[in-house]
Amino acid sequence: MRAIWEIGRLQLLENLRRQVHLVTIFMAFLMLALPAYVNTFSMGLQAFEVAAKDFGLTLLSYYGVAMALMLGSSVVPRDIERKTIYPLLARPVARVSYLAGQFLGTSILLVGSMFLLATALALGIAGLSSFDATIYAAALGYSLECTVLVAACLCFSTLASPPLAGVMGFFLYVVGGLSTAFTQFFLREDRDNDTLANLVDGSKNFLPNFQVFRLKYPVVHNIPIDPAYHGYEFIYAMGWVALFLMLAGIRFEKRDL
Amino acid sequence: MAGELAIRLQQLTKTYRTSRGAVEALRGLDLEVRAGEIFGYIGVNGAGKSTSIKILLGLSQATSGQAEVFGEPAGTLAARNMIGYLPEVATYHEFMSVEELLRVHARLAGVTGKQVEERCRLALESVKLEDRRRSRISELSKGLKQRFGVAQALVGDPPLLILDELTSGLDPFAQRDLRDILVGLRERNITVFFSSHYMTEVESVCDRAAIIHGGKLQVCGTIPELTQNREKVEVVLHVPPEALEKLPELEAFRDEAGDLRRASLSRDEADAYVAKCLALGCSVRRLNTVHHSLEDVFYQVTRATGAQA
Repeated sequence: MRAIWEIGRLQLLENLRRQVHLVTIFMAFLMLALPAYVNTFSMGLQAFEVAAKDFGLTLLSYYGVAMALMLGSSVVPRDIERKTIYPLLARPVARVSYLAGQFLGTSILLVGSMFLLATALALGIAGLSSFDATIYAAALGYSLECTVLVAACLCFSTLASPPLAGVMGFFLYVVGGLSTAFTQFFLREDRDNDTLANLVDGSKNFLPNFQVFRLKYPVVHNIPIDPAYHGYEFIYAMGWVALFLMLAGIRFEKRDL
Repeated sequence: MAGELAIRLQQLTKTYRTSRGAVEALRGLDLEVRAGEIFGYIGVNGAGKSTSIKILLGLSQATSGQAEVFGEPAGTLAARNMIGYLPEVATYHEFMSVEELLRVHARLAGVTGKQVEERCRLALESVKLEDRRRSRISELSKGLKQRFGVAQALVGDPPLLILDELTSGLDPFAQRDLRDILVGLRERNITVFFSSHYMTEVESVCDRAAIIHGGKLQVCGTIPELTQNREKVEVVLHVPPEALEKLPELEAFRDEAGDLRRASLSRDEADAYVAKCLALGCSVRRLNTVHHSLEDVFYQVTRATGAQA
């Protein structure tokens, strides 16, 4: 456990050195200014809050996914390429612990970034209306979505190059996030393509369902969320993370470095 | 630990699959390194040094054969717990300070609690880097980075140090500093296994050395064993014509004017041969032993093996 923490800390510091956090801070300023910008188009209507939350959370989601794909697919290959992995794995550290450490370091940075952006958005809205803490519920969902994506990309990067691992992660995100309504209306009814619809529905059974983490709609429309739901989505996310890390560990264990 | 084997490689093979087919990096490598000795590991680029080191560390898997570290199968956590390693191309997290990164390595090596600070202090003392403890790794010169590399290898207090190309690319002063550090480790009974391209360095600090070529062990022994066994005795003889008739093979040694013949003989055959010549009426004009350095031995061994290949 200590090895995981130490490697996670190294990874976190490495990402900070790469100034990943500066991108987040830039985004945070954007989030802070966003409600005021949206408000200028609201023409006196109170719908600005809904629009600002909707727009802000969408931005938050895309930012998280982009960072998760980018960081998750590159952390391990970069360590191998720079050979910083050698002194670490020459220690009595299991390779799966190394992967878990890399996951932890990347995830801490991402989750921290998501909550910083959520705070910026909440403060931006509070400046014109009132502080809305439910934004954090959506941020938690997106954070968990990012952790699953990081674990998946990390797993893919043990068997593919970083760009390919990123593409595979993106594919996972797209297919795993497709709603049933999409396959029903667009594939079955509109396009009359049952084969593709069945393929998508079938593959979704083996992929993480990212819809679970998307709480934008209830948050934007002030629909109450059962607090227990966050516990379930957390367990669901950690289950997938554990599976991806286990698969990555199996693949990485015998790999020649 | 005396008499115990720190490293044991038995019929170790490693084949890499590449786009151009299979490449045999190791072809049945056998090697034994005793506990407490400083062992030099020599070979040309591509001889298989780094591959065998990676197998010892579990960074690479052997195709067949056995590798053990103090009796533990190489690559296992128990084996790695006994190794401190300095990679050939040592890249560290350069944004961290010497002290910070050393602490990380100490914890990864399993050092706990207050021992972390103590081990870091001792490791820095061993490599004389105490005054740079707060410097960032990026601020260190190449020589100081190598010293830090030795410190990080030492911080877990391992009984075996594996140093891959320790002094490669360093200036003579930095090389000497690191050699002094190695000699200091001998007093602490730490086994040092280090690969090098610098023969004089191996000659000056190692108890034993091995030359590996083409993925196989070519020679192994103490430095005197490696060099003296290959010494030649050069003898210049005056050979009268009647002696030449009785000993026609002396003709082959003709490379001097007149009746002089120059022969280069191994130590074992020199005495008998000279006695035989004297009995035939020859006289010795000059006799001297030609000493071979480790470098000469290295050239002989690698060229001979290269020619066979």
